[in-house]
Amino acid sequence: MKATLAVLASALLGAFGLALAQAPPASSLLFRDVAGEAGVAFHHQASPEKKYIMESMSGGVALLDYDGDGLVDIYLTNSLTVDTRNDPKAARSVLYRNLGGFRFEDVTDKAGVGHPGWAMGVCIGDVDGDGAPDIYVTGLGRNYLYRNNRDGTFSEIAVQSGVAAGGWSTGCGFADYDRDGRLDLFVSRYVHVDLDNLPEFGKGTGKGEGRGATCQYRGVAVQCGPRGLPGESDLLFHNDGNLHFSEVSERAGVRDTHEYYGLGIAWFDYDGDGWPDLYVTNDSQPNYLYHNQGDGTFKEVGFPAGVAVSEDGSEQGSMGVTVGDYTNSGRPSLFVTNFGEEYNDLFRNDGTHFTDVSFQSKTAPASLPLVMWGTAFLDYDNDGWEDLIAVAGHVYPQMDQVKTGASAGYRQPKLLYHNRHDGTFDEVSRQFGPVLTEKRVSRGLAVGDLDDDGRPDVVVNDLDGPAQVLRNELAGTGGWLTVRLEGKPGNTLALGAVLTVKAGPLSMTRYVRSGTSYLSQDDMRQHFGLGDRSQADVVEVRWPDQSLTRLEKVAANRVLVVRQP
Amino acid sequence: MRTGATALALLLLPALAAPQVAPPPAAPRPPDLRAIVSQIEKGDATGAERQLRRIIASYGDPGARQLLARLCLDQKRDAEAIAELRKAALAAPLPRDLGLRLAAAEIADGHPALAEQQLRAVATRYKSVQALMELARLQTRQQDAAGALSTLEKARGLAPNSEAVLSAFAQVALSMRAPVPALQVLEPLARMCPTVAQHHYMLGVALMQAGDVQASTAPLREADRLEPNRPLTLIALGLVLNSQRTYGEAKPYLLRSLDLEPDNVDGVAALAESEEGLGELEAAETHALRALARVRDHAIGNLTLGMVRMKQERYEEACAALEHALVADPASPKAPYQLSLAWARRGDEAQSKKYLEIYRQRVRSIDMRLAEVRAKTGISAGGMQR
Repeated sequence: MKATLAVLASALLGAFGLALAQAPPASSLLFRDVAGEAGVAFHHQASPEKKYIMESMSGGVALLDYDGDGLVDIYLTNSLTVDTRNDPKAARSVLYRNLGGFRFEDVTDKAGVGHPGWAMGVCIGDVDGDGAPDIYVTGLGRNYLYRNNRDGTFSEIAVQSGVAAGGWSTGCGFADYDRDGRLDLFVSRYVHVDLDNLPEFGKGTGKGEGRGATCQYRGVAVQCGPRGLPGESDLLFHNDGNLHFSEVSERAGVRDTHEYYGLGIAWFDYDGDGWPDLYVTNDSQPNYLYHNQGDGTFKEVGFPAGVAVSEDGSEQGSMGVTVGDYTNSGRPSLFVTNFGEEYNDLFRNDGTHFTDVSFQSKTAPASLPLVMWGTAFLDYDNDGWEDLIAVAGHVYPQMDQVKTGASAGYRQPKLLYHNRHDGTFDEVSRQFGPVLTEKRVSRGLAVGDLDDDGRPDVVVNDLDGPAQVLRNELAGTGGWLTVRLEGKPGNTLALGAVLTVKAGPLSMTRYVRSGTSYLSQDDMRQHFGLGDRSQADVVEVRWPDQSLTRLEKVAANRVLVVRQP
Repeated sequence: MRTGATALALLLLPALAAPQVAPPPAAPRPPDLRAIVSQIEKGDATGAERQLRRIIASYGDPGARQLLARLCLDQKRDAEAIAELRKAALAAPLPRDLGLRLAAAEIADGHPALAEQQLRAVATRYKSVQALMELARLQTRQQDAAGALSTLEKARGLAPNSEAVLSAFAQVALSMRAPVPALQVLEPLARMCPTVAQHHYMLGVALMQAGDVQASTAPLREADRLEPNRPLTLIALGLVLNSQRTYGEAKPYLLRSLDLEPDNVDGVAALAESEEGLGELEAAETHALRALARVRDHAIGNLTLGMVRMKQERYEEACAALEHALVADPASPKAPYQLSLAWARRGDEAQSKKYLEIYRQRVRSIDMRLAEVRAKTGISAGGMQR
């Protein structure tokens, strides 16, 4: 038996188990959910039982300044269900205009962005280079591109622009991958769904693709998939100008010939060669890292780079992804949220490769029981070091009937990790009261400073529940600087720019990205905590075309606008 | 002696009742042994033995030999008894108990083939579960696990609810790394005998082997509760928790196991694995090296040392350790995955790809094995994860 045991464990895959890390209770207030008082009455819809997989995966949230008034607005996606599929108006996505002072107004109808069907994710880009952010919404069946008319309204132009896609799109993000000065678009896709032939709940015995799918969870009937269902390839749209895109996935080498279950995406230049690379999270399958070869093509390097699977070689059910320089090394690391009984991956960028430091950094254990989605690096206390937040919630409402063992139930708490400045984190959600520990079923998350007080706020889109607007009210935080970049026409949002702020011993780097978190969009303005410093010694911008702008002695506690020369 | 003799006589009855091989028609009939049995019952063993020897000399009667063997056994004259039984067995099948006794003697004397022959004869003739169990033990000792499993399958047919049979069947199946048949008996067994720690322990190990790591935790915890401080259970729990990456929870179990059995190499290696997972690289290295000093090819010891060396960016040494792990555990994808990373960091793309392919093959094998286990045992998939 000894000999058997000796080889058993190493033959095993899979993960899981462990209660949440206990943190001592404290009375500090960090976030307060002000959705109600702020006028954000959004309530995401889904069928109660979530009998089909597409009823469990929406929705996203985008923070953008659609009207150019300097205040961050909110867009939340909502989705149809199997029961409401024939009524395109049954689900209403909502655009909230920021009126200032944490008051928001529902401007959806006027803006014309309320009914993008089975909406899943959202990302922001200025596709026509006119300086006004446009909204791209992914979903089941087709996607929507809402072109900003610069008058508070949008025009939907996906079909004529060639980016309506089809199938089941999830993540999206704009980037100028070939540096031709125009924003291109990547769209990840998930599972192939035939609405007329849905796999039977709990059985998978329908005529369609449900056969052989995973439709049971620990003996309880649940929705089928994604395992056993056919996947869908991903899409890269090249911006040809004049609001026309061509699909170039195959040619560029990012088509996803395996048809993995794509979800989150992150455009970022991981090796600092000036060309935007691309990371794609795949549910239950290896994640992709596409290295931009600078000639319009990409090479998939997820495995050799060490970011395809977990440290022990397990394919995890990856959902969201965020990028941040949490070590203040100038290198972008990856944080990936995963399914329950797996752990969230923190892949530290070590220059030539990534290292899975999830356990070393102490971020993994608390995540093991949770199914996690939206996530972001944020310096919530302005100490100059990127902290981390992630939201959770299972996909099976039936979880509460399951003998879950070490897993959490259907509703799950958030995790907030405080950066200890030594490569490790403390999970501190319990220090900040029930707004973080309350169990919910969250999906999308986006971070931005909604009131420009220098403290990053958080907006969360819950599946089949009310959205949360988490106002950061932490007292005694340090100085700060928020930087808004204005790029050249064509890429006015400066997507792909890299900002470095130096303040005393601190050297912080941020990345301007479209498509963040899980199916969401963070505010593209970049926030820096400055600790006890009253100024940033240096603000350096490396623009997408690799030109540099350097500012010195920039006063703290303000929103700084930097225009590309 | 009188009591012993009575018992002996009673034991004889089945032998007398048992079918005998018909003697050649022309041969003279040996005297009726019942008179001798009566003599023994009256306490005249010496006279009875004399009579039996006379009959044997005259007729070579196997029944007389069997009775003489019983007398000798009763008087602790085992060697003489076995000699008579060997001769008797050549002439006619032995009664169940004597057949088993002879088989035991053959095993003790280093004649496994003769023992097997005797056990098979008894098993066939008397549908003896005990004979099948003994035969399975013998086959196990001879490294014939497949044969043992087949034998125990027959025993299960005869005694489907026997705790001993089911437990033996499970043990043999586990030794063959055949978790599906093991699970099929262990799940009912653990329910039938909920207070027996061993059954829960084996159920946990079977689930580990089947790849359902999470499900294995509960029975192992139950085994630990029923029989605390059993090193093997503690180590199994440590391994299971390590494979669930709950290293902080695994470590105390492993430390406890090493308090009880400090030199258990599996315990030391598993502790190293926990420490590596917890980022305690120095301790992990020390314990991994300690395990490897005892068993150079220890799978977990090498894997852990390889992981430590990877984190230390000592890639050449990492590769050496991981190569050992790759061979020591031919099913695990962990070592080839780490090897692919190590070679990528050493700049050798071809080697990296080679190990990546091995990794992929192993992942596919595990997927197929899990699908098979789930189909055969009804263990439900844990949702999205492998």
